[in-house]
Amino acid sequence: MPHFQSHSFRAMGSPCCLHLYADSEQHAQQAAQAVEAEVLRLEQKYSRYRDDSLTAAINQAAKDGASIEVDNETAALLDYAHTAWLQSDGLFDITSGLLRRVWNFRSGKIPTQKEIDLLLPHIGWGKVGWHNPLLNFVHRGMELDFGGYVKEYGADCAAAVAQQQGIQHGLIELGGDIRVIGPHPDGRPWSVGIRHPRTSGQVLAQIALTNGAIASSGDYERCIELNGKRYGHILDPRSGWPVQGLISVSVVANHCLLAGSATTIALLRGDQGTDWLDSLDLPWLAMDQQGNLYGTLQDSVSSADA
Amino acid sequence: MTTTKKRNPLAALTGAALALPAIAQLAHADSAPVKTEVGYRYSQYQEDDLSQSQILIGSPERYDVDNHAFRLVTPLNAQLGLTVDASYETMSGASAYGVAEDAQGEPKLIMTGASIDDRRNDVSASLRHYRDNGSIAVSVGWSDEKDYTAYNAALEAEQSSADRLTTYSGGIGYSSDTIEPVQEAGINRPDSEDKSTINGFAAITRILSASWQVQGGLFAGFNDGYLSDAYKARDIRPDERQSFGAMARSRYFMPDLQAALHADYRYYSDDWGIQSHTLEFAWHQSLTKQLRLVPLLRYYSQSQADFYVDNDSISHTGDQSSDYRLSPFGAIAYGLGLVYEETSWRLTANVERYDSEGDLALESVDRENPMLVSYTLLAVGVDYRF
Repeated sequence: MPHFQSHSFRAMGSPCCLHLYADSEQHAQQAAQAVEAEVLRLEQKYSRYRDDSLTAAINQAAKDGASIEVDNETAALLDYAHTAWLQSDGLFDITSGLLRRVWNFRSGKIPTQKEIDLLLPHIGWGKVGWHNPLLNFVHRGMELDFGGYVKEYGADCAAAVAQQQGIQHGLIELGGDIRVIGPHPDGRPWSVGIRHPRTSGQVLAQIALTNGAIASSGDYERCIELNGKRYGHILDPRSGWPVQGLISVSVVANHCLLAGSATTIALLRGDQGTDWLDSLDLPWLAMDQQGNLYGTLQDSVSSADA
Repeated sequence: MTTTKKRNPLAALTGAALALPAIAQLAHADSAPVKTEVGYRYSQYQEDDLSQSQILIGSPERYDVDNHAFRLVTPLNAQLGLTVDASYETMSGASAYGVAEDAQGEPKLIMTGASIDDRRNDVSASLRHYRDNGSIAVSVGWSDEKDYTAYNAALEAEQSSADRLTTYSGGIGYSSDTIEPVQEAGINRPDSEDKSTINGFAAITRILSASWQVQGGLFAGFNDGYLSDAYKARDIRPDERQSFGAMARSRYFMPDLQAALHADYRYYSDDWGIQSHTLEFAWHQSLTKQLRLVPLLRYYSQSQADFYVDNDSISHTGDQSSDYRLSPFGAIAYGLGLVYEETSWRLTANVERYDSEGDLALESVDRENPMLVSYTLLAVGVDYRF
């Protein structure tokens, strides 16, 4: 019987947990360390909070209106961001992180329209010159943020490292983004709970997964509540304001990166989010502000909410 | 930079994601074997001797088979896995030459006088290629006995949906067999006969919840050539046989009990007039982290072939056979399996008892075939991964 081990750590601003079946305790530890190192590598490379990160170097160039050449992995991530930008009609935009300067979800303060208007001219992926491998910032004062998808990509990388380490059964959880590497050794799928967006500590649905990934997002993660209105952390790059519409979206896909961007784009599309999810042909579950449920995974919803 | 706007959004995003090294690796490393596994299994199959009252002429001793099976599963690269199976089998015993009525009109067996001794060698190899969410396998095999040679080849594919909750599988196989019966003075047997078989299947497996998985499938087969038994006095069967069937499987896990219930049903029907039903339940109970106990119960019932005869009277004309496998009967099998699993090795042991009788059939059987078997199967095995 394989040895089972759970390993927790903190990275990318989130609690992370690895659940691995390995040949022995030593094998499990070795694999967990390698996986953690991979996640920390990505954090170090793409964190916007670290001065020594690649993101910091890119943003220095962005600030100066200069050019910078990037490595293959970053180039592929930028190509991916470009595709997501096109597919979302410009809603998925890695230049919109600039809005965080005025939207501080810890402060509980709503920015003024004037503050937002000052930033909007510096937002828009279309204003960045991207000619692999060269990033060219013709427009000064912009900023790139990989935070919108690097954690999901990290879950896929973590799974790849775990497989290289000989792990065939396991689950990787990076702050709510989940990637499964094969079922339990006896063939049972993993049962993944989706958080209820309004009732803290309650599970909205249980999803069975033997492989692939599930990503969930919603306005419950970070938000400001003011005068009975909720301002979620998903910001529309065109208006600079939080999107309204769906309050929780979960998508199941082959890769966590796909599940994550499908989730984010659905939230960004507001009331049209469910149409976008339908068009993807992936399993999904969403809840709107009135508490109505949508999606192909409704069978998995806990009975109290059905 | 390619313009991907007009494409299907999922295809566009997947295409972009696959350019990322970690994702490209995961896309095909899905379930190719990462370790080499070798296994050995010894099994002993022993048919109960016949009672003297069932025999008109000959020995009451029936078949005993000893089988040694070897298996190797090894990765060739990240996307390719090789499986090689080889087995060596020795058989001894007597078989029925025919069925005749005794003075009271009861069917009685005429057994072959001498004990049959034979050995069988069997080798097969399969190459499986793993790719996004699925795999495709080709296999070839060869089997050889003193009087029998068979070559076979098969193609199989499996594909899971994006969420991995649904798996579609299917396959086709072909076998070409030649029988060259051992000749005996005074008995008229063919020198050499051929037959070929084509079969196919399609199945869908669906994970319904964290604890429940079901599978449904259809299968079909077509035999062409010499399908009779060359060793029987009067055995004349059609030279074609078309079969069709359906099956359903359920795997239900009970985490609280550390157990799983496997329930399988299979329906078979062919144009010889045989219809059969098989129902099997197995309870997989984990006792400790290493030890698992698996009791099982199986029921089987079949109707007779249209040309089945309960004795080999010369008064019958046209297709006819008194083979017990074409007779109406039912059977019950019960067994116990034991699996002891450590990190790099596994021990298995199984015992199964099988009894077939006319009275166990779903339909009533007037005259039971005297050759119906009852057997005991014992098997032990060891597997090692490295």
